[in-house]
Amino acid sequence: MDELSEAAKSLIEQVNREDLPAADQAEQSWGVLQTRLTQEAAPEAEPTPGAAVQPPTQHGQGVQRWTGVAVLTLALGAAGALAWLLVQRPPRAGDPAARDTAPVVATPRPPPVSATAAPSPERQRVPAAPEDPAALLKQAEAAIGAGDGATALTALERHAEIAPVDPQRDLRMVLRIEALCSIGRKDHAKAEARAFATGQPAAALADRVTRSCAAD
Amino acid sequence: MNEQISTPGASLEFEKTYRDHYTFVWRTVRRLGVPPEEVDDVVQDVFMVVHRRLPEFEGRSSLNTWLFGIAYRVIRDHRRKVAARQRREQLASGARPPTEPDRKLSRRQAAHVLDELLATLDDDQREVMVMADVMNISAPEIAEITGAKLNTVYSRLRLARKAFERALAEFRAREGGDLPWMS
Repeated sequence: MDELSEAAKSLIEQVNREDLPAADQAEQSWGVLQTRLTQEAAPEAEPTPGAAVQPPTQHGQGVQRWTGVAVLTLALGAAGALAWLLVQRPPRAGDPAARDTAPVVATPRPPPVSATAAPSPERQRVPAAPEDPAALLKQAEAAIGAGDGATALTALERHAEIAPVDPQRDLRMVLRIEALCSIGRKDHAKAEARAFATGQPAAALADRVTRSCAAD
Repeated sequence: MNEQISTPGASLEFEKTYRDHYTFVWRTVRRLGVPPEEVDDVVQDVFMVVHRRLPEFEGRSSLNTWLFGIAYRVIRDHRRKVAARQRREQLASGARPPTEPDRKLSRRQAAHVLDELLATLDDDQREVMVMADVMNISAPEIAEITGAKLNTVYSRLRLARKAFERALAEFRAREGGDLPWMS
């Protein structure tokens, strides 16, 4: 297999390192996503058949957000929100024409996140996975020890994303082979062990591979 | 698993999956050629499917690989619909290519350069190269995601890398070899 040139690898690594969503993008998108989930669950906002994988509308998020805010507001049935709804005259939930109403797209709007992500006392924040490469490898090793190969693979893939040329890359490969073994993916483990062997790995790491299912 | 929080249907596990993997899905959608203005919508489409199918995830692959498989199918579906829409629009008013000032501006950023180079590949080659070289997904897993034979994956990857290197060489010749990401 022809390898990529150093220039190509360097470009890809830089993009993986630097091309990230804006800091608040995930949070904003989460608000919209919750609205869509609510919309899907609400009886008056029954989606059209086959709309589970919804194509993006030509109007982008704007219409989705407006429609979503209206649906959520109606679903909650809060009197204050209803009054606001009447004043603002957003599109009616469930109205098939609402999505294509041009004035809605053109009207400036406040971001919907505050409405959809209203503070909830019982809401729990879920911590994200560690972003430190060493911590990810430790997490993977612990997961393999606990027999949770899928979690280990996820941690190792995150490691590969944020530290593709990490000095611990060989260890990452070994852990990946062990993780694949732990979830019964022997063929994959063997294929990766063959790739690993071509890289002149340290003896201690090579030993670990020979003790794995990839050597069977 | 389905512990409810503030939104109907949004389980704690789903929220964790979303928060841990948002960047991965966003990057996948970007690299597989979805236009920037449509990325948010497509990422949400991916997570709508994830929300529905998360209880089916059995851990037979890593979560990233499973997510990539969903993103791959959502993006293909999206691409087909966009192509159909563009055909309709072309019939109505004619195609409008990117303007030259936009293209020049975008070249200053590595991500745009990468996307420009990836855009020279056909869809099959682009997908396999993004999976293997950008998202670090193994060839056997790519075969599983795409439904292609392993040898086909290797063959596509070989061709994709060659085409990519050719496009990169042309780009460097045009830009005078001054590559910002190598400084």
